[in-house]
Amino acid sequence: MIEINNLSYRYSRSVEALHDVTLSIGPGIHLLLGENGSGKTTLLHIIAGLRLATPASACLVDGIPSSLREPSMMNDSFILTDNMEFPYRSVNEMVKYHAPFYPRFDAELLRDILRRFDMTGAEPFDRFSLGNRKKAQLAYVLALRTNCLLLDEPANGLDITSRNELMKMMAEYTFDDQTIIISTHTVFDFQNIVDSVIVLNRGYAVLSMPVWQITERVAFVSEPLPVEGAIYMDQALGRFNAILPNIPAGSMQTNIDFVLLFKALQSSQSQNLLSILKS
Amino acid sequence: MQTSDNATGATLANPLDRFSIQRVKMVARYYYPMFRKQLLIYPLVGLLVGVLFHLRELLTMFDVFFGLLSLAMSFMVLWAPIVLTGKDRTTEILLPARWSEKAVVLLGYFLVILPLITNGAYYLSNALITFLRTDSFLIHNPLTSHTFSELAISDWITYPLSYLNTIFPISIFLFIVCRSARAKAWQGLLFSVLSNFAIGIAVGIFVVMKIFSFLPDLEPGTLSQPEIERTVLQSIDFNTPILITAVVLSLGSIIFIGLTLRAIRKVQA
Repeated sequence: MIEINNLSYRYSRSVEALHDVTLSIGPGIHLLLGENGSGKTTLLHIIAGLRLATPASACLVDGIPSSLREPSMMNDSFILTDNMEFPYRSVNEMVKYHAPFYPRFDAELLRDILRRFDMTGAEPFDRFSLGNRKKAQLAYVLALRTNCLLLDEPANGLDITSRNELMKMMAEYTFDDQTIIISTHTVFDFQNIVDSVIVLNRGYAVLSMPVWQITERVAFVSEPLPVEGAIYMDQALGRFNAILPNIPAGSMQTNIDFVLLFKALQSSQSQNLLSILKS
Repeated sequence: MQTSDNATGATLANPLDRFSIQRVKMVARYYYPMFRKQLLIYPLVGLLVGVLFHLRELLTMFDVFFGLLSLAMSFMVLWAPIVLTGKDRTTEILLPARWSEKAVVLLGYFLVILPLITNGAYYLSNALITFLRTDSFLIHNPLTSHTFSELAISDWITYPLSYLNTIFPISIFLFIVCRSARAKAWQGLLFSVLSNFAIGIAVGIFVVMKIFSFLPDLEPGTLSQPEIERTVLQSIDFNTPILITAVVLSLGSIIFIGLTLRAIRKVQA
């Protein structure tokens, strides 16, 4: 369980990246959305202990302040940042020198994931393309089996097949108590596996809600003609994509459209939408 | 298990989070691939310089070359933390180990182990060849032999001083490396060289001041130039300024080691 309590974070001599963010993030796969500079990466870094929250109690991972970087917390949490470089030549070297710090590391699982990516683990990282390096890194961090896994743009650089494979693996290998937060701009890749969505806007947490609750309260429709009664509507490729109040609650069974939801939360209709979602 | 007080963030310590020698070993193992080449090459260079020291005595033209070589050896040690620069150290910051465990490994390696194995290898080969040639175990310190051999300075000062002279620039380099997740090599190289120059200039000023304060006491025309030099070097008490330098170096090293510890504890991505 990750608890963020009135967290604000300011970079030295710069603007505040996070403003009074309060979130409670339980087990499951969570999608973290926000524009560039909205504070997504800062939030992930603070949860991982890469940036230090003040006061320490502003960010707790399983009850332990992340800024303390206690070994018992750090060995159950990992972040894969966007342009992260591993310190060793290959996945096999990571297994030898880095994995012993992570008690739940599963070598069998790693072999299985690597096999699905057509890799052995012996390939040097510096000979990989960007996409293949990302695949090897993802295979490794999934095999660490940490309770808290933070992925910053995990699908960047992956081809279509690998994105699908990644999504399948995440759905398959996520264990019951695991909390995975995925920060991404390519939401389509994770459309079907996400349990909840968190939206940041200019450092403020504007929404944090399970997907089932969102789709129970609003419906996402796509029609050839303008939709009446829409909270928000957007025209694309000759169709009108709209968010409608789902009255009575859950009466319309629709799939969540993350892009439309995100656009609506950035628009002038965001307060209207939020009041319906939180009602 | 550890519990926390939400209001204060205070925590009750988990026994697993206490300083652990087992984890220090794991941290050392984590760094080993980065240090592997140094652990192999540095003692070999030390051995080589120890052997070449004797060639210097046989061939006078070899003197300059040996001087450069011993200088290169000392800079190899000073610049050793360069292995940690230019890399993404995110994985290292995330490593599930206490900051004190990481500090033991980093400070122990760069300030103790590496200077020890490099100079140890030098002393070993030097002493062995000296023994083969003269049946005695006389050791020549490469860092002090040029500077202090002619001076009336106690050995008990020169050896610790040469060590302090080594660890002060290393502690500066290490601080620069540890304070950010992606340290730049040029900053460490520059500041360690500048600190070395500063030490040299400070010692030089002390020595020159001492010599000039001594010269007026000599009667003009009574001694030749080489005799004046020998008299000056043998008569002046260099121990006091050298001791002051040692104290300054010690304080400087302590300050930068303290800053390095703080950087290891507080470093952010």
